[in-house]
Amino acid sequence: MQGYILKRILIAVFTVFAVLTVVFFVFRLGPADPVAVMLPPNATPQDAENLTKKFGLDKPLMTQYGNYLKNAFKGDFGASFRFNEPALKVLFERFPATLQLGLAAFFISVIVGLSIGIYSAVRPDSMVDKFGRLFALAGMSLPSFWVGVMLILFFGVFLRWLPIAGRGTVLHYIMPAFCMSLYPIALITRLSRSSMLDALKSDYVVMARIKGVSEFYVILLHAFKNASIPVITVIFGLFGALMVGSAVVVEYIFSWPGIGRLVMESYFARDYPVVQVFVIFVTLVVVTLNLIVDIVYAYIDPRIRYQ
Amino acid sequence: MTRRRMFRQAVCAVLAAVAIMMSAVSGAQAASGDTIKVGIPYDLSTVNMLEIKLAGDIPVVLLMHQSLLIPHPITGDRIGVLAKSFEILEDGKKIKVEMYQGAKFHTGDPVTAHDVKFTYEEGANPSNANMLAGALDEIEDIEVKDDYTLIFHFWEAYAPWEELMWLGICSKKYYEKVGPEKFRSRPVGSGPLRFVERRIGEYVLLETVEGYPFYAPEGYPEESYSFKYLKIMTIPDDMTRLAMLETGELDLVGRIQPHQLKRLKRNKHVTIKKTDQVPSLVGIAFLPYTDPIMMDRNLCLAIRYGINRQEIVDKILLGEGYPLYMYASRAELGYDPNVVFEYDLEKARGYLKKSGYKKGTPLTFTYTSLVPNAPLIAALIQQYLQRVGITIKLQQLEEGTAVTYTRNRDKRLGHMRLYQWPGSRDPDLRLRLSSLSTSAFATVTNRPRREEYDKLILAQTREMDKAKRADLIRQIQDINSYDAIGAILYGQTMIYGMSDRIDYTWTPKEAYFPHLQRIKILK
Repeated sequence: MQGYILKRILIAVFTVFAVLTVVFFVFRLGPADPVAVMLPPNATPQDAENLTKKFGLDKPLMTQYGNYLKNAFKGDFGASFRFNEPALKVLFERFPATLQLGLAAFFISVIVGLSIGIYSAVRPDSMVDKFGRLFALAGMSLPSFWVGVMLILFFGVFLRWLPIAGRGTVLHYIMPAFCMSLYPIALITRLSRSSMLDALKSDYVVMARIKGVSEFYVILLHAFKNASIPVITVIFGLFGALMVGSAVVVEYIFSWPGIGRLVMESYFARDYPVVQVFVIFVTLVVVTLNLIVDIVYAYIDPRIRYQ
Repeated sequence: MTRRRMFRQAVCAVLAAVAIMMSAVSGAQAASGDTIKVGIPYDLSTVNMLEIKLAGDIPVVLLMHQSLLIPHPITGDRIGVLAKSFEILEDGKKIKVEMYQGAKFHTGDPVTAHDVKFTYEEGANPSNANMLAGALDEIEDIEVKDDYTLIFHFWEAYAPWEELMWLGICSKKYYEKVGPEKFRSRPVGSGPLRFVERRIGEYVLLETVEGYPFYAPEGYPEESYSFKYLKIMTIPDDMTRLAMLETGELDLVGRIQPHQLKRLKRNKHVTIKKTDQVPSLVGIAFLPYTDPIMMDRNLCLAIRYGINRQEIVDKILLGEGYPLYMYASRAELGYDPNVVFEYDLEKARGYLKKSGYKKGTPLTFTYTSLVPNAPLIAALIQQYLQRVGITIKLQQLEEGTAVTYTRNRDKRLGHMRLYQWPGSRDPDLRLRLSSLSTSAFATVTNRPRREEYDKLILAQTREMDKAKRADLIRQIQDINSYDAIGAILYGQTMIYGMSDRIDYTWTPKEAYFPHLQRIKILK
């Protein structure tokens, strides 16, 4: 088990290093120059030179790379070009907002997705199952930016039940969290339903029922425990996806002051340090989550442990 | 108790809780009290006058500061606020400023000539990477004669000197006391509003200053506040911002696009106002460095006459704009309504025949999302020029890439580029930076009458006599009209909307929300 975990950690470290390198070169070798983007139309060549020097962009690329790696290991990713503050600080100022929204969406996804999925598998072709399948189809196919706009127009403008944008009260979470969780709910519903259907047909479930185990325990302890491996993989993966993919679109539409919106704005402003620190941060989160999933796998499924 | 009954009770409880929450939020949304909420699409890069990075930072930062000159809220003309008088010395190489006594910073310290000198020097300091530093390079030195008198020394006579007199004056004493870090996060000025809080990505909260302006500068309009707080909220998405205006979650939104008006007009709680007295210009830059054919006068004239500007205004701007044929919009110095290139297809075809353009050769037309409705405008121009006989290949670039190509004179930018000029009152900077052939940013460096043209540009910068300067600007425009290297398309009306509980009127000649302290709460 220890060897297995060590191997996984080494792979994770290598992944982070690879991402650090790719991120650096992708942004530096792109056509857009941050100095050109940041300068106003009336800036003089002297202004451009000053700004280039200030951000260290006048040095050779490999020197910049060396400094970047050296500083990255110290946790220093440079100062944001836009905000004139350390990029890591800018990111962490905005991270709690994304984390809160991500957690809200995550719990909604897990609770709703698993409930519908398990119930649909236990009562196939019931109303809940039919609704669940329809919802899953819609959730998979409707883009979140469209859903977001529709939610704003219906619940915000037409009914005036919910605040449209920003962050403040519990009610501010409802629309963006729902919008973010739509796809994960659909995915979890479909996956948990199909896994549960397989598990419910298995011999050990039939045996448990013959032995007179109550239906509640049959479903949750015997069937669901065995059906949960693919679901766990998806759930953990989803948390990372919620913070990367969905957050960017949803935070923009709902003016949620999180890191998704920050990275989008920073990308368009060519604020390299912030974009870099975002990518590295997300990589760390995803790699850590995957590491946890691997360890949990090994714990749940002895076959993986023995391999 | 049966399970079914328990379930029913649970559902009822949840519904009741939701209903209570909904009624609570409805009340909360309606009661905005004495706080005015203004929605802007971007996040401010700073609240520090000394480190301005975006033009959009300026109107917010200026609310906290007072300047030597400000635009009069009704006429838009510059009036002295901290400055009592200006005296032009040595044919414009020196400007002597006498300041009012009695102006105070929010800390209670007096605003003196030392603070003015400090602000201008720090604003020009390269380490602050202030976007205004380039313009401030015109100033050689600032001499403080006494606490309320100072002299600006310019390297050479500088006609548009008033364009440098609006910097928000910062407190030197406070800056030296708290240091740059604290000043960046908690700036102090002498403006009508004081800084309260900034949340990056969310808002900037300002508070009105009781008893402002503490003194009575001549010509300064009487101010009486009808609100306590002003919250400048960052709402990047257009649709969301307008939805918030509709529900009353925002009180004021600017830069509304014409196609968004229809929906807003149906809402009786939203008031819409418009003005065309704002700097606004959308045009096409021709890029001869990509292909010298773009300097062929006949081809350039064919393009100029081949574009139906009125139709663009009617179809795309839905009438909320005006055709423009020259390098100054209605609110800018040098605007001449007599300069017109009426749409004339036959004339355009005639010019094309005389040009060196080979039929079927594609000319690349580049646009970015920075210009509102750019894809539609580009498609329409492609159609117009197709009718003339010019083949246009459209290319959409990401703004950052396009800006980099522009600065580097990269041929990948294509033959023409759709651009938007944010505008200013005075054409000087634009002429010297984008038209003067020696400028690093000039797109045309070898026009036929280059020497004469450059001489005129430099002369208008140094000409202190307003009438003579206007004549020089007109001569520059004559050369532009004759060479025809470039085509201006239209100026757009500024449309802004507000909830019916407030009233606000845009200050003429200003491109961004000016004088937000003048918002009045009606109910």
